[in-house]
Amino acid sequence: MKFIKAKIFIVITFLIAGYFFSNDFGLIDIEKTAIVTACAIDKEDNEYKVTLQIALPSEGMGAEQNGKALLEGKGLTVADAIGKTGTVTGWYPSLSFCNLILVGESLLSDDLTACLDYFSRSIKIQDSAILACTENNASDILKKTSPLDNISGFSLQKIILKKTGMDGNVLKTDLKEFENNRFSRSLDSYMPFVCAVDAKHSDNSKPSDSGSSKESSNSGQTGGENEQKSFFNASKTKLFKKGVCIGELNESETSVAVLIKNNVYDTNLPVKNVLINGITANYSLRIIKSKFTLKINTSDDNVTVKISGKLFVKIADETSIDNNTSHEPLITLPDEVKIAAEKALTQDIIALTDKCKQLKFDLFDIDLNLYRFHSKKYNTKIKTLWDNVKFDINVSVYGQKEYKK
Amino acid sequence: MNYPLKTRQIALFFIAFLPVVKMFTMPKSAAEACNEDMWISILLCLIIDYATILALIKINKTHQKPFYDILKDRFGTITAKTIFFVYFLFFMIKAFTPIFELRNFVQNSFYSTSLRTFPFVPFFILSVYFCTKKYSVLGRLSDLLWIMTVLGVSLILFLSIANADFGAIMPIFNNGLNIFKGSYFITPWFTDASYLLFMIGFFKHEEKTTLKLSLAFLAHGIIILLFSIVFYCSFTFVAKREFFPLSEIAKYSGVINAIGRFDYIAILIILISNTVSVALPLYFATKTLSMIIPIKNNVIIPIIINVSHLIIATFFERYQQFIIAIIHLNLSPVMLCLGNIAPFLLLFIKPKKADFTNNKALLKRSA
Repeated sequence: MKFIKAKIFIVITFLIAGYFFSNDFGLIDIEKTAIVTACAIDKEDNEYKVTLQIALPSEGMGAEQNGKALLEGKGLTVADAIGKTGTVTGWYPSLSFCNLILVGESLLSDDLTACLDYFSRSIKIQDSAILACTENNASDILKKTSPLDNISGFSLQKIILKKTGMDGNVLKTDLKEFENNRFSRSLDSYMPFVCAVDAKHSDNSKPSDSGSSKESSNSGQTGGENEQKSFFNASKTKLFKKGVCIGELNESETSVAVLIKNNVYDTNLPVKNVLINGITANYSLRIIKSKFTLKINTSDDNVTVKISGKLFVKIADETSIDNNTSHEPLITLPDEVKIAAEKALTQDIIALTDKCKQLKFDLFDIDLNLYRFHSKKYNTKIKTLWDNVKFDINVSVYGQKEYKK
Repeated sequence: MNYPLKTRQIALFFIAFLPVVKMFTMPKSAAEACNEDMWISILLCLIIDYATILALIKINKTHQKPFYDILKDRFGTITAKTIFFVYFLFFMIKAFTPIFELRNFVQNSFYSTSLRTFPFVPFFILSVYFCTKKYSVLGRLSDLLWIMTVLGVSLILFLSIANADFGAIMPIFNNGLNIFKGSYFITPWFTDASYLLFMIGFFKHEEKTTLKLSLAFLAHGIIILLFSIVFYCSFTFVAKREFFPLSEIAKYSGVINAIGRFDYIAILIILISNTVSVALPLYFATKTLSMIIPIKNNVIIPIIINVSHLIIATFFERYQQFIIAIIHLNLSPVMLCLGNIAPFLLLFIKPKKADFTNNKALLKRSA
């Protein structure tokens, strides 16, 4: 009996092993799969037009063709349009490696949730994919070539996702963050606005470092000298309420918003027209460390938001002409520069808060903080929040102290 | 007398198997009911379970007999078998949600391009094998697998804690009665004291039994509370639609972005414990049915139980949400009664004069 049991056990073990290991474990067939690296969504004739930028697996294909490998599909929903790209090409679009989602201008007047929900609900795409909106059609941006990288999606990622702390001019967001903000108490969200800037193409403009150099030279050979190439600018920010675009932050407002929302470092802070000893000069301060805190006070009738910022800087560059014979190092931070920097930053923050008040846009999560930490007063304060909110701005710039006799 | 389980093993059982099964859709369901107060809902369920466990430790101390024998001695065989049949149904129902969760997780995370149930079949084969085993095997598994759970959960929490905005759980008690609604809905994931109910009489009450089991349950509670809080603080307003927090919460870590998804190592480690954890209700269903229908061949009942669940998982897939809704919306009070309230009633049964000479034979038969 035991022998029969052992036999049955062995047979079953082999059957299970055979069944389990003969499967491909759900691995994708690379020959039938389009590895999507970026996705652009537009709306045309009440239909969604999806353009997928794919990384072609063919080894022999030139970089230029690789960069232009775009699949297009139209459908009633985003999922439908993505499905159509597979129907047309025979390639199953795999979104697992899609790190960039671009939304065209045609979609900004509608609730973006309608088209982004597919990505945020699907587990087939990582919700850490960067999100940005574009001028005109998003697909046009993907079609452009850039001297930075043959694949426009990759060069856009370089612009939006800079080194941590150095991203002082792009208020970046990803799918998860956007959706989280969209469904937050204030229903306010934002994303960078990408514009293409024409670059006068020449061989000298190609970057010569890192892995891009080979691709760029390939691009030059196949694309020709007269090909129109573009850089991308993402230093403006679009603001959304309930998923609908309600306004825009300009470049300086975006920079200040980044400074307040993220702790940036290793970023330049320009200071204009500082008068020291009768000489007017421009300064460039290098931010070594920055920290902004927001405190909400509801003790009186108003809601007071105190924005306190501390920036530790050193002088990176200045334009004053040194008439002395000695070449002195730029170690100490003159009080005049410090005051000018504080004044300039305060003015920029005031401009930003004014815009937020004007648009009733909760960039600083005031609504959320009221709910979390002043919940008893929340219901009364929130109704008239934007009529009664006051901003108390206090920015301090620190550097090496100057010794004055 | 040789007991098949040691207090240490039961303590490790709490740590190894109880938290992992609650790391799938339970936190999301609690968040759906009461948002930032979800952790209070979970805490309520944990407190109820802990109170039941304390009662069961006391019952074990006073009776020193298995649950079946306590019932048989007091009410007779027919009543004992009837109550065991009710518990058989209880475990069969309790098994539904974890099986569906594990299957969905395996399908969506590991077999995303071939969404079929068949890759999940080996689980049931393993479960049949596990269900044939005695309590001593469960004890040894606890000895081995608790470290897997602790390692896996620690790595996941270590990777995800930095990205959690802990302000998200404020304000506290702002959701009023919804907190109880949350507890009501997530009750079937808890009622873990029911496992201990079937272990009483199989472990010796020692001087530090209460302390050891309390500390182990506390550790389990901390693990699941911390995991749920970190999950909610990572996703906040979109937490309600995150079905697989286990594979989601760690991926925003800077280390993961730089190196790649090595959190899957932790997930796989947790899944080892989880496989046993998901099979536990089926294991205890086997134990209860074996007492009702004593069959010599110990494979037949596990096959019947597992095949019935395999059929449901395979052929009734489209009723999955319907079944889960029925269990969590309609059967939660029943689960609470059987898993938490009924064990308390045993406190009112006075023990007969202990017949310890007979206990050894009883234990052997029941195990």
